[in-house]
Amino acid sequence: MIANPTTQVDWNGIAPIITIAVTALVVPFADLFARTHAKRWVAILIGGLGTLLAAGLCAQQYGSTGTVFGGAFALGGFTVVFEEIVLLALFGSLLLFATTMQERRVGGSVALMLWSACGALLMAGASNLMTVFLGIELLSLALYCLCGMNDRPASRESALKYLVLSSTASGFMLLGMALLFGASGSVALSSLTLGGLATSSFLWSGSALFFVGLAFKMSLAPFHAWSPDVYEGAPMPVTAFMSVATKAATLAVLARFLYAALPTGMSSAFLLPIWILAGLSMLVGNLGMLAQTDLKRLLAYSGVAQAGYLLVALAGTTALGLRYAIYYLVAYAIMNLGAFSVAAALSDEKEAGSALSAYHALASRRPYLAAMMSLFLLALAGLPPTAGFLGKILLLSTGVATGYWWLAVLLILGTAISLFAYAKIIRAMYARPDGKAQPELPVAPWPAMISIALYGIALVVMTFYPLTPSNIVPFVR
Amino acid sequence: MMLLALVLVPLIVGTLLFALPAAAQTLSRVIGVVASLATVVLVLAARGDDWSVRWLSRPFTAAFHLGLSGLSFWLALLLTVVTLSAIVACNASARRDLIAQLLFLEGTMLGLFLARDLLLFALFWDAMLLPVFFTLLARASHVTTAWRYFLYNFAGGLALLLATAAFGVLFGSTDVIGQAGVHVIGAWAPWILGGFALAFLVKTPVFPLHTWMPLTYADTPPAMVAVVSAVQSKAGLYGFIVIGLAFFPDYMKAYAGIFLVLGAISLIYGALAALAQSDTKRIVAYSSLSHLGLILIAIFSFNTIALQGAGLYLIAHGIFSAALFLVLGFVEEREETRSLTHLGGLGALNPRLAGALCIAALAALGLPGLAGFAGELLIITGIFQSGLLWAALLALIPIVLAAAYMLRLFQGVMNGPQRSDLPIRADLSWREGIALAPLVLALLALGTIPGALLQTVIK
Amino acid sequence: MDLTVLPVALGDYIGLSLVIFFIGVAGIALRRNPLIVLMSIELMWNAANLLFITFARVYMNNAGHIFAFLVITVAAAEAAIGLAIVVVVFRNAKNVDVDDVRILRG
Repeated sequence: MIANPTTQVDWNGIAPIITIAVTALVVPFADLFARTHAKRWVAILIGGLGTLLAAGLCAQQYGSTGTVFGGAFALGGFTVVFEEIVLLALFGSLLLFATTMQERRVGGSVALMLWSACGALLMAGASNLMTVFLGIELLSLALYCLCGMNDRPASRESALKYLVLSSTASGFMLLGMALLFGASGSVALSSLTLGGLATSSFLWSGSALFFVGLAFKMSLAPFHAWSPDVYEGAPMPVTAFMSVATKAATLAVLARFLYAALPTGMSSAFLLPIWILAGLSMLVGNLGMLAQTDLKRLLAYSGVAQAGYLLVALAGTTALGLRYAIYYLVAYAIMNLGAFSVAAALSDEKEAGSALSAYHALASRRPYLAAMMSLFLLALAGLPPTAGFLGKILLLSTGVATGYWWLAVLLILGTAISLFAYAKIIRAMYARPDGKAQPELPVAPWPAMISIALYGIALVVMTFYPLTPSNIVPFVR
Repeated sequence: MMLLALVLVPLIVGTLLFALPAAAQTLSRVIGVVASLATVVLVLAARGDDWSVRWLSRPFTAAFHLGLSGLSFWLALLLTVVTLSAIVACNASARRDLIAQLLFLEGTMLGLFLARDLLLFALFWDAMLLPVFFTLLARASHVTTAWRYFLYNFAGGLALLLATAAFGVLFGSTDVIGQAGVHVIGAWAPWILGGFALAFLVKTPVFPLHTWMPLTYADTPPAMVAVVSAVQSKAGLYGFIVIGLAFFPDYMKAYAGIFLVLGAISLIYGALAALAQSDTKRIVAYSSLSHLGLILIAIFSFNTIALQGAGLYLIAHGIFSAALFLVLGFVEEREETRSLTHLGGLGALNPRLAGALCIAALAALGLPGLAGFAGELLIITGIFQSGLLWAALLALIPIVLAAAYMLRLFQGVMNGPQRSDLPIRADLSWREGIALAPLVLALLALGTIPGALLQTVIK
Repeated sequence: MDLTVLPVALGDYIGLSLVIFFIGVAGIALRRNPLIVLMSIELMWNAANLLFITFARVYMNNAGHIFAFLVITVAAAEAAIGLAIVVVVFRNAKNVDVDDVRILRG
């Protein structure tokens, strides 16, 4: 039964979401009044400030507990950590608008991205099925529009593809949610843990369909086919945001479901298909990277593999594993944003920086960008001295400790394969110029350059000061 | 803190070199020499130091734990001296990037030898591959070599990573190198040892995992290959001693047969292959395979004398192989060929060059009075003592073969009639002489008074 | 779970809902017209709605009704965006066929 909602309204609990939503309303208006050549920076500035404010408000809730809005939205460390990762992705992606995208479209795109982030924030704290659904749809609906924001036909096509495939996946997920509602008679995630449900066929079939939907959003193989196309077609800031925020928000929902919603006594065989998908993703993603000629497609396949890595930490559903998944997620967010920032720094609105051919002999023209890109790629490959290395160690040790040694072996295997793809780019960057005339490179603004340096520093520092949040109990009971 | 500085100085200086303009070759060489000299001084000053800071407390405890004692000290000293020699030996055409990569190589390998924590060891293990990889990758003609080097060694590195994670989970701590009384037992232990062993065998290298090695040694610039062959190849054997023997003694004994056979095959195969080569650097590369196979057998004979000999021979091999590669590098710079069929008769006009090659080659074939002899003698005595008669007898064969291929190398380069098609160049310059001097002195010192090293290298 | 409140058996409701759902799935897989594809997606979502309302009745819990209204609202937004994107994609095309959408390699 849902209690009278008016007694439980706590606007404080969702202050970060409200901040982002208000910012999303302010940006288009400011865009209307800004002078033509200031539109780009006005949108980025307002969006960025709103994001920082939301991050500050969010951080204050780290110690709080309980739920607000009749159990619809959970407070506490778990929510806060995932919200901050989403806000990091948002902030980093907003900066990419500095070079890419036509000026007249920046205002609208920033507003849409803020709305999309609202959805992701909602997912981070969602503790009943309705909030999960609302969050996913808010995230996705804004992303469909964002994907089509470029004039290129590929961009519009990616929007249509994403819309159709993602809505279909939502359909499966919705049916799953209906069955889960049928199992417990309540939409609260915590109600599933009540006794006697472990053998309910509604629960089994409902969870399976729910997982299919999440696997699609997280682009786990074999539900990953959309991601290379959509990543390639979407404008670069959108791709960057999508790759990090969608994964983070979906992982939050998945982790909350696995850790807090499934009844105790549920057999581990029930979850086995998820770990098999994780293993498959590592192979498919890393193999898929090998033949790519477009950076965004390559990072899409890389994202498939990294989603698989993340799940290794959740296999066995230990509290420690969740912490390492979060550590790796943060590292992944930073290295991905870093790689996209370098690509954006080499791009104008035509996005020349997304073709891998743009990186040939980059070191002789832009040594700083080439060096930082190498660092990010090494991090993605899991080589020291980056957080990718320590993250892999933590994931491996969780896999071994929980008995999922085969996932650890697959992780190692996938890493070995992925190296070909990453090192190919590094090699191209450090090749001698071949004498052919190269197109003039744009000069990126200083905030972009500084953000790239910060990502690099963060990756190295995270290796040596591995902070993992301790206050992340995802329980909603 | 001195140990931290020791690891960081080459890494930081190497990074800063990239801030110099690419044309500043002389300046970067001077900076490189100063930095590597500083590391030699630091190694000597910091002997016996220990430095530790907590890194992880979950899922297992790990620390930034550096220590400089025993075998670590001697390998670190070897590394810093060889790097100094290598940088001094770089001629004016050496690019800024090569100096920087040499310093990166030195820093990462110092980290490896100083690491007292398995996780830190694994970190530096992977990191030390990158300088060589990128140096090779930068030359369009050596891309295949670069990949082969990297894939073999990175595959080993990944096995090491998995083994380290498993070790940490099972044992609860990776801050264990150099500690007594750490014994890993259980059903998982052989698999963990297997992961470590794979990485070590690839790195050493040992037959049949050696196929990356001749190419790499032939294509890497002489200054870098001196460091790789002299020191990086010791990382695997060092690992067997400080990780394998220390933590898995029972399983090392149980599976010793495999390693002994692999070592014996490497020993014979390397020596025979060295006889058949006509490329000077490949001759030395295959001779390394043979010599390191001998050390592997010594380690797996579990005999104190053989083990001490192995420690001594590790250092000795490092010195003479560095000297050999540097001298052959000088020859290649002068004559622009490495082929024995094109070289010949250099000795008459280049007596100092011939003398240097002679000393290094004689040390390599184990002449009494030079560094190689004492180690070989101890190893073979030890193997006899441990009852592995077949291995000891096998080990005698390559000693004879070593004389053959080393003399063939020397004769092919220095002796014979003067070749009219080879350009006549100046003899060994002062700079080159200074580069070789510490190595030659060390060869003589180790050959005459090995006891100083023996007492401390392995307890 | 109180099944006596239902005029027909629970299995029939679930069966009907599943039939509608898979008609939707088949429509997405087989039809080439993007408008029909969008309609098929609506069909899938509404199949889930039927199930929500069924279970709301079974459990006497109005959360199911609320969920169904939520889905209808979201579906309206989704349809609006979907139609807009379809218009943008096919603005210059004579025929409307999803098979013509193949710049991206898949």
